[in-house]
Amino acid sequence: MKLIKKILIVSAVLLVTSCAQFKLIPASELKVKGFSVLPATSWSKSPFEPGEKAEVWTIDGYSLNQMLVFGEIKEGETLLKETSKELPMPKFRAEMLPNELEDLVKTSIINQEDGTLKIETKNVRPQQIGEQVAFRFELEFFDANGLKKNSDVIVWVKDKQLFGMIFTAPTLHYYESYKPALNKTYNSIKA
Amino acid sequence: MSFQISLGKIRILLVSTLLSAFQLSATSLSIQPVIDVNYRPDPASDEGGFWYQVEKIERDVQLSPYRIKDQELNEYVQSVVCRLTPEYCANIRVYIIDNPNFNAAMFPNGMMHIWSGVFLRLENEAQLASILGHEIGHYLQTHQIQQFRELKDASAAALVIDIAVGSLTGIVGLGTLLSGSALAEFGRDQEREADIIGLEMMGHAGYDTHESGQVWGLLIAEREADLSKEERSIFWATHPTSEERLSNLNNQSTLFQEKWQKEYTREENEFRKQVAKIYHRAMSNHLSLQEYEQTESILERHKNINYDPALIEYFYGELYRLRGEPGDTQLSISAYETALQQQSCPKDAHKQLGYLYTKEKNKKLAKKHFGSYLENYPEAEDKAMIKYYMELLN
Repeated sequence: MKLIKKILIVSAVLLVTSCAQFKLIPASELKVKGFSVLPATSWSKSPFEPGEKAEVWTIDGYSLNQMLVFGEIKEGETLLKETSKELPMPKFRAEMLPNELEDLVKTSIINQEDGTLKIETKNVRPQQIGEQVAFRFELEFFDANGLKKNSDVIVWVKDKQLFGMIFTAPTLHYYESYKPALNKTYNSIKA
Repeated sequence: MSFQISLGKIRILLVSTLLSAFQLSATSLSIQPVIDVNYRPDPASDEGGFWYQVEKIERDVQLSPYRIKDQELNEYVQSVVCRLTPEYCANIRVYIIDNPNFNAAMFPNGMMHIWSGVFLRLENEAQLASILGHEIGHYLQTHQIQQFRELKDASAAALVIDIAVGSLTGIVGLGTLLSGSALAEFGRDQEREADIIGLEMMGHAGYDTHESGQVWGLLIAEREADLSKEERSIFWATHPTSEERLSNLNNQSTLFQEKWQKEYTREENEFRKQVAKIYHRAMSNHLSLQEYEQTESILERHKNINYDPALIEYFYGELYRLRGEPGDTQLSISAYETALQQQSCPKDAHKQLGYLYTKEKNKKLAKKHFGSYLENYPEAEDKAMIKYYMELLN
């Protein structure tokens, strides 16, 4: 089942049962998933957890912008929860190099969306975050409804564990309009 | 004013004209079509309503980013349809969908989908004709509307449409698909009819009908090689098969060729030339499925049918690299190095070797291959990362 659909179903069920707790993520430094970050704008954290060690934030709704935040993923663990036996999630290995981390992220997203998204990678480069070197790259794809989307990914491996953030938004207007805030957010990361 | 007609369209015209003149018509089929040429249902009927929904899907298909729009390839596939059925040729529109799984689907209004995974698995034009002919058989017998009418309730009927949409994009919940597959599956009689019609069309068009059984044999072998799962394939979900069916096709082929004695062909060259155009794209997409046993089975077959050996070795390199089992690093290195001995090897093999040699702590070879990668792709999307690694290796 597609990620968006799952999030909507879970959120709808929780809303009906009055258990929905979207939590405010303020624009101030916070510790999340084993690292610190200062979001340039405030977000709402979804009660839905796409991975055992991942959470998702949004500002205007999942279809318009979402931030996947993950960390402390150990050897043999997956970035996202497995949704089907036929589409196993790739497992993290501590010795992964940038090309393999790129494959891990792409395949995780593809399999989350039922296995057949076509994703292009752009602008793969190192990014210094404090004393840590992270890998940053952008993804481009069409979703199931034919809407073009972009993702900005930052990932790093520290103490044999995987950490990262992935921002996704429609290419038209939303992705570019949040770029400055996103750069500021990623630049603030303390691994 | 200039006037251009593509070679592909000339081929379609020529094939249709010649075959109309010399070939037996649809009336020569042992199971007659139940619809006339240019058939359209009454818009007020249930069938008219079904067509309306399918025509909306077709408009989306025409614009879909998941459609392979290469003109020559599309015209080539259409020319095979026209060779199979010159009369109904203009009523059937084939769309090639960028999905590396094996699937072909026929819709009641004449829209046909064929997925790129089909081209990866077939070996010649006769085998392609068997798939197309089978689907045309469903169209000529209006099996889809029969299936639609047999469904008991509206939600089940809607599922048929959802599966059609899923066929378009490949993006359909497999769980949903499999739970709906009992509804989407054609009956045994319908499958038998489509088999017979497809086989007879093949034979009358001059294709070797034994290739029809070959296709099912290939698919069964691939499924048996895949140790990991049950009915994942959308094609299997909607086209149940068995050894018995394979045997029936082989028997029918023999009987047909004994009755209609002529020269039958398989026609490999044009088929493989067309497949070569999408080979890299389709194989890359297949690897992303992580169906490594299937990929290996496909590559093994490609070795025997003489696709570009550099590309085959390159994809072995990718397979081993992505599979990452013990010993795969060395296998991957060996495959990429073999592939790079030929000019036609994709040059990002250098990048993958750079990373693999980095892991093997062979700095000299890592730097050499990273350097070669940047020479070939000075504006690569990951040039900053590669340069960073070259500095680290220094």
